[in-house]
Amino acid sequence: MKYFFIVIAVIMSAIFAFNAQLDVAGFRTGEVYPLAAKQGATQTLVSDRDYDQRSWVRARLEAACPTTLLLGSSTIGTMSAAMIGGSNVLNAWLTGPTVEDLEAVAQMLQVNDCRPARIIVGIDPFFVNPKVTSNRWRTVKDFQRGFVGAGATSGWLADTKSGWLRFTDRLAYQTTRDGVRLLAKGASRAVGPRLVRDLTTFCAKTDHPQSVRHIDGHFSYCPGWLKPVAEVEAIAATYVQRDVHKTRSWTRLSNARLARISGVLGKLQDRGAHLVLVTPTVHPLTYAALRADAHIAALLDQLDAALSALASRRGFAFVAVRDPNTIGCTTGQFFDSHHPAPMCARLLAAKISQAVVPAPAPARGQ
Amino acid sequence: MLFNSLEFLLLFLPLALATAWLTKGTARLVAICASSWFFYAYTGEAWYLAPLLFSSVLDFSISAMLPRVTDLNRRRGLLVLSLCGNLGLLVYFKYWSLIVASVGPLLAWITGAQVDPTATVAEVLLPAGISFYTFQTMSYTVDVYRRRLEPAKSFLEYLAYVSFFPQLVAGPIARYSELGGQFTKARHNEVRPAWRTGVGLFAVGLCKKVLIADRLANAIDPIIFELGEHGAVTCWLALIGYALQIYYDFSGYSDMAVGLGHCFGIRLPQNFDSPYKADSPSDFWKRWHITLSEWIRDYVYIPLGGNRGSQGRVIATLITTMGLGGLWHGASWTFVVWGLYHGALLAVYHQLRSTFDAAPIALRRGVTFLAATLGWVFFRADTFAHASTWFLGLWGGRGLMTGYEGSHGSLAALALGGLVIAMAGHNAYQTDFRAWKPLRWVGLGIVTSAALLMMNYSSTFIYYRF
Repeated sequence: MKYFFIVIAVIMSAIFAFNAQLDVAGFRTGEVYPLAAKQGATQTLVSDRDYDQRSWVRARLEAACPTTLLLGSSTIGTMSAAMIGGSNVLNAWLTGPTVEDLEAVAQMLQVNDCRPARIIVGIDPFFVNPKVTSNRWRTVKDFQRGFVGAGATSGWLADTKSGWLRFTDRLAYQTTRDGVRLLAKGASRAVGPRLVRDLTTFCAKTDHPQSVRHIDGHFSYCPGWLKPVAEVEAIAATYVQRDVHKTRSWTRLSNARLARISGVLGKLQDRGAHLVLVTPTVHPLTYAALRADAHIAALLDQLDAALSALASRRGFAFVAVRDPNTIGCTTGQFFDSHHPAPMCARLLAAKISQAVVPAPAPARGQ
Repeated sequence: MLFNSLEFLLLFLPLALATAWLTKGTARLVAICASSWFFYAYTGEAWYLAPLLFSSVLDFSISAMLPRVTDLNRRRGLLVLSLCGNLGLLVYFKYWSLIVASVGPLLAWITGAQVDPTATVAEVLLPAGISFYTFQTMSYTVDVYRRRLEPAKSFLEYLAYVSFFPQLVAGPIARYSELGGQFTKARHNEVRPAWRTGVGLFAVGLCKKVLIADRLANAIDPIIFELGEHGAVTCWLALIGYALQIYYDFSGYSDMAVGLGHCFGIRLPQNFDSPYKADSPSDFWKRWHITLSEWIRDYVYIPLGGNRGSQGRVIATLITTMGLGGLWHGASWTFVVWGLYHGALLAVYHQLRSTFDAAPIALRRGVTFLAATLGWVFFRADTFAHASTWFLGLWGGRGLMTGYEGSHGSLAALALGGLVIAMAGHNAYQTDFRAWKPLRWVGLGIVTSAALLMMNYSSTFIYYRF
């Protein structure tokens, strides 16, 4: 039996070393910050691997303070400044964000004395799913700690948890698969984070899906990278079954996280911002799959009720558009199960721009 | 926390094994109970422990009283109290939504009142494993009531029997007569781990789950979601794929549970015995989810009359028992129909036994596999409308090749491979891991490494929701 364990130890160690060396998840991409800082109005940041989106957001917030700021995950990441309207818009979406990311960005705004007039916040269900954890926010941990005033013990615990998540990420199939694909492209075709001026030329030369982030923060795909509608529909239809964003494992709404979100939004409002809460739109088949599961549907209803109550209590606008029918998005208008393509993103942005900010409810006793 | 997660394999399991084997006597049982409760709370929610402890305390107390009570009516009263307590838990957590959703429209139909289509039933979260451990605790009380079992002398040993984490969430449904004595021995330091068998069974189960069941699920779920767009070929592919997925998923889980038991020196009962090699509907139920089949036989079928009485009575008992067995699986009428369907199969087999058993073995196996596979439509379909769409597709009502894509070829290959293993290969329990040569362990190590790598590309077990 010892051979069994020896074989497993050897294979898994080799995979760990391979993934750590290649770093396809972009845990170590320190080059992003200077690139983002000097990104020009006509330039796009591209990369054939994931990279540290937090560094990008930090650099752009330090470069200029936006009038309109979008916070949330990639589900709101396809909305461009032109769709939102206004000249000074930053879409600061992040990959797999958590509450800690919101806290860190709030602290960045505080440190930079940046006061956006309008902040649009996309609240995905996974924000309040206790089963969803992420270590990515650790790259902005100093800001997050500054926000919550964390002590040494909680810092140690967070570091330990982060270390474990990073360890498991490097033993994951997806990481290994992406690493092998990257390697298969060959060193000459591999493109780490870099700035390109002519995206059309870049797209014509590149046939592999890559990360493309524009100066206003929104992301896009080259036309050649788009999945066929049938494939998108299959991905959307199995969103729950595949437990994407731990949806199927979601047992309850995390009131602790809701309270933290409320706290962050309250601070942003206190600094003069008008807040718009959005439940991002998903693919019609994803939405159908979510509603088909009675337990998930009930949790979503709870979340929407909680956000609606928060919005009316604090005087935020609330745009509940998870259901694509509410804004008229159709199956062909999505990149995958939960990322609206430009046509749908435009409808989403239009709906947000119509959002009415209600007057805050009077405080108790008044 | 799932068996197929790195948290379980690298953090929880080594710690649980170390605390169990580094402690002795009572401390060992305390360690097993504590790690089991931690596992259960971490897998779901901390409050899941409340119904678990309620059921444990209720049945331990009632069973402790039973031998001292001689009056038959009082004995029956105590038994009814136990059954009401456990079934009450099941009704509240598992069947409440179904009852409200079914009774409301029925009453409205009788009284002629209007049903509010927008009315929703408050969602009750189902604690994982409640169907399994309540059946264990009920069987314990019934056995004590029937004087077939002495009540447990130690509450700790009884708690270990109910809470033992390898079988807590999805079985096997063990009897106290099988496990109680083993936990007594564990307390007296008289059990030894069977590492080779334990590790071998666990590894095989993990590979079945991650490398076969989950890959099949990824291929068939998109088809099942939109069955209305598929013709006969893809509908049959999805059905055979699901028959194999549920087998590899649940038997994989059971192999892992039994393997973990061996690592703690506890022998859990076998739950599967190559069910797709069955040569009759009756044989199928002796090989599929064995511990549930035996539980239903002993505590439902026989008390309802069993094989006694007229043919009509036996058939009615069979069908009723299987209908209840179907309902055990989930709060949906589709599960009841699945159970009734199997009851009808058993009844037909009961009537035609001599003719059927005279047929060639290959034919009997083929017919049994086909019949069991068709039944999975009711098990997997979300609604009866979904099931009828599936049947229509199987029948060719939407054409033969409609919706067939090139990628379905890989599903066919995967299903064929899975089918060959299920029908022709040895099962894990027929393998003597203690006699394995190093080369076999190397081979299993390579395949297990693939499973470990694919684990976070995996999903929960189908039977976790029952």
